[in-house]
Amino acid sequence: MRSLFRSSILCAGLLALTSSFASGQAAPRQPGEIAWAIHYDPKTFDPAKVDEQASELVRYLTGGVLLRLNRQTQQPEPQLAQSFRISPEGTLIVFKLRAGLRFSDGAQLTSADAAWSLRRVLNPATHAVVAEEFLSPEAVVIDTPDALTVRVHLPKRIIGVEKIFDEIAIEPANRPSEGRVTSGPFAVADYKRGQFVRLIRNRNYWRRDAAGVQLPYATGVRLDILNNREQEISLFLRGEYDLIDTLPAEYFGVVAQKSSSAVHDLGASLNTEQMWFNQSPAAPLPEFEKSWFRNRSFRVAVSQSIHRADLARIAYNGHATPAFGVISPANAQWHNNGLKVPPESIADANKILAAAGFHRGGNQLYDAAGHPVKFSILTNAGNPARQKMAAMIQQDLAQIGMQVTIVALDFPALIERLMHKQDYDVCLLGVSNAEPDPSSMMNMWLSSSANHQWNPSQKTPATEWEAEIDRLMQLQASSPLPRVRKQAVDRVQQIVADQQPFVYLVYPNVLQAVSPQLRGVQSSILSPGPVWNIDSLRREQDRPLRGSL
Amino acid sequence: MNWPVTIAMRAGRTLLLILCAAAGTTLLVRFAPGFFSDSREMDAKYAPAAQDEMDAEHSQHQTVSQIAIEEARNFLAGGFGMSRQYRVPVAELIGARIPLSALLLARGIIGGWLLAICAALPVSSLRKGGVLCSLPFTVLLAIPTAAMATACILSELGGPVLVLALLVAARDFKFLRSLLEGAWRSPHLLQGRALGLSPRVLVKLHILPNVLPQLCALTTLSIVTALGALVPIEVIFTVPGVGQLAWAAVMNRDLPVLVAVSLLMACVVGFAGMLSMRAPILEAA
Repeated sequence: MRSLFRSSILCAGLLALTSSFASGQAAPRQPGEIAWAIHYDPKTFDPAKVDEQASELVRYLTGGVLLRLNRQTQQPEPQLAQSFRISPEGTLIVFKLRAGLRFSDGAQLTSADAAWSLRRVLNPATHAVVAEEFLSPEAVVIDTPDALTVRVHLPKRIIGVEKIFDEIAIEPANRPSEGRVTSGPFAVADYKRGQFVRLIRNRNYWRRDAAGVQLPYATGVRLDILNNREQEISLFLRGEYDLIDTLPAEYFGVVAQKSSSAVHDLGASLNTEQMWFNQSPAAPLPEFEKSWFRNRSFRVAVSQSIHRADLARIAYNGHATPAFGVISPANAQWHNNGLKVPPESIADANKILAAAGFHRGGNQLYDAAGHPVKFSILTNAGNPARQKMAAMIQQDLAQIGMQVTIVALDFPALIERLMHKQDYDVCLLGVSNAEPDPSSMMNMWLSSSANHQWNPSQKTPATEWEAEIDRLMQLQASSPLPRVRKQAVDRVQQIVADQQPFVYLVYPNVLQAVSPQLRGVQSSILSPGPVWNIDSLRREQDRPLRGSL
Repeated sequence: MNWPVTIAMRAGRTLLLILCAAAGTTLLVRFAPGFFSDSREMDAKYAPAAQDEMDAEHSQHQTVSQIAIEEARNFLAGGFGMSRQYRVPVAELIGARIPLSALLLARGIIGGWLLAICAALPVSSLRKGGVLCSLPFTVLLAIPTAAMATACILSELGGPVLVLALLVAARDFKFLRSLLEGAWRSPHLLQGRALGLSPRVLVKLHILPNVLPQLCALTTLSIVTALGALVPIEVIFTVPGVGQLAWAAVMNRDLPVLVAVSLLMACVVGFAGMLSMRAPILEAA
């Protein structure tokens, strides 16, 4: 019997040993390779067909572009183009290419390749998302007077046209290669769906550092496809990843405890977290509820009763900035510093509600017709910060007698309720602003847009203030005068603060974790964060960070 | 009833199960909230492109019958259509992942059985304290798979195989223990022990042959248990297998992938169920 026990324990021990070996996750790192995780598979490696963020990142890392937006100065810088010039009327852009440019396969890069790549993006058959930024892509004409000159003729001026060229990768003419032959710092070498994307250094990349050393420094990039934050952090702490681009606030402290020098809170991001009331006439809600949500006093009272500092402190562990307006203070150029916002005050909120015909019966608020004020806040499941905010808002609104329930749905279900059925009372979500220029927000602010969340796809603006926002947004998108644009955007911010169609809650801070071994990092709040200057990043000796998750 | 008829009936039942799985999945996914939505619709930059794609799909897949006809057509053409999420043929997606999941399942089930047998053999022979020795397995049974996997990641101990093995062991231990207990206490075993036969000989010659039909049924249970745990384990440990694909397909309402995964799972469950046929066949023999 003793031998039976002995062999049983031996077997169990062997099993535990073999099982623990099966836990390795990251693919082995090549020497000099920089590695980090992305959360889902890129849908395409064709730079012209990019239509989501993972593909956008691969395009950024592999695609050579005529101009690159410097993520720190926010100014366009010549890349494959040695210089560029925009005509005074804004309808002609002339790019002069660098001499001796080559693709990663050694083929020469000339103006014919640049023109072909631009025409491919403009071709409706390509379905390039970036083409829409040319406003009338079919009317854009490209010509190449010589092997180093590309001319882009626009039908009319486009404000901030330079930044569009940051998104157009130059490929070899008539040889689209899905990122395998590139003019950027890296090229796609290997892709295992659901596992990783491996990029290798482009030996023919045009750029050299001040000492004349060929860039990029890194021999390659490995993007692991990993949708598990705990594992990502664990692998980062073990030194298998060099960075975490967007570190959730709830994990910031955990990583900081293990390696305080690796985490960085860069302050408010351009992104906003906000809630809005469903004002769509098509919404399947009782008429009295719709009338609350259309009532400015009701929205302002709600805004005044929310304690934003508490939201930032508790829901984001202090890694967020209270928000009162459309444009984050991080966007210094466009933020309205003189914005007047309704002050946080329960007493003022009660007064406004009373003036609007609402009355209290014990702890419950009633409207003039005697309906108790009850509604639900819809948000997405799987976002702890949002769910905490919703719970805190529930408590805040209880102080002014509003009864709130929280509904958390997975994203597809939420989108259906929000975008297709308009079957919700209040929604709490975030908006990611990848670009600081307000023109990128047109889709959200124009009343005719499907992304005009509180009342989408309006044939004509439902209210005067929405009509004014439409006019101002069109003005800022078309005026060549910076002062006029700034005035228009400031006014939009003030209208939104007055009307509260969006009740802004917080600007989540930009949280990044960067391995101390990664050199050359110039952090930026703009996408793609710490890797925006990927060609200048290099790894020092391989040494894991101390501790584990 | 002779055994060829039994086999034919079981095969028919398996086929019915597979058809029901396909039909059930189609209905559930088609009517799931958010079937006609795309997360890019919330991204002001990519919303128009996403909307165009959704409109095109909506016009093609408005009714269940349209979907069913297309699925049948794809199936007859030797594939499962294109994945909505990855825009690649579903057969290609699943084909690349089956070996990984199969290996994980095989290692987990074998490990689980090893653990369960190694624990059940000595525990079943104990006269006292058997309940106490079973306690770790009872506790394991109460821990959700996802919690076990998360604990493994946080402690950096063990991996997907260990979690799967522990789960299978926890489920199988109770049955194995009672099976073996019955066998140990049978009169011929008592006599063999009184005659001084070694435990190894007793197990090999007297216990295993007697419990073999029940073990076949238990194998079916192990496969079904392991299949059920495949999704959370692969998702949490980021194993790029069929379970992880199924999860991503659910989150993205990727109907062609889900139907294919359901068919695959139904096939495995159906054929695993046929394993338990050994019991009546052996009894008849």
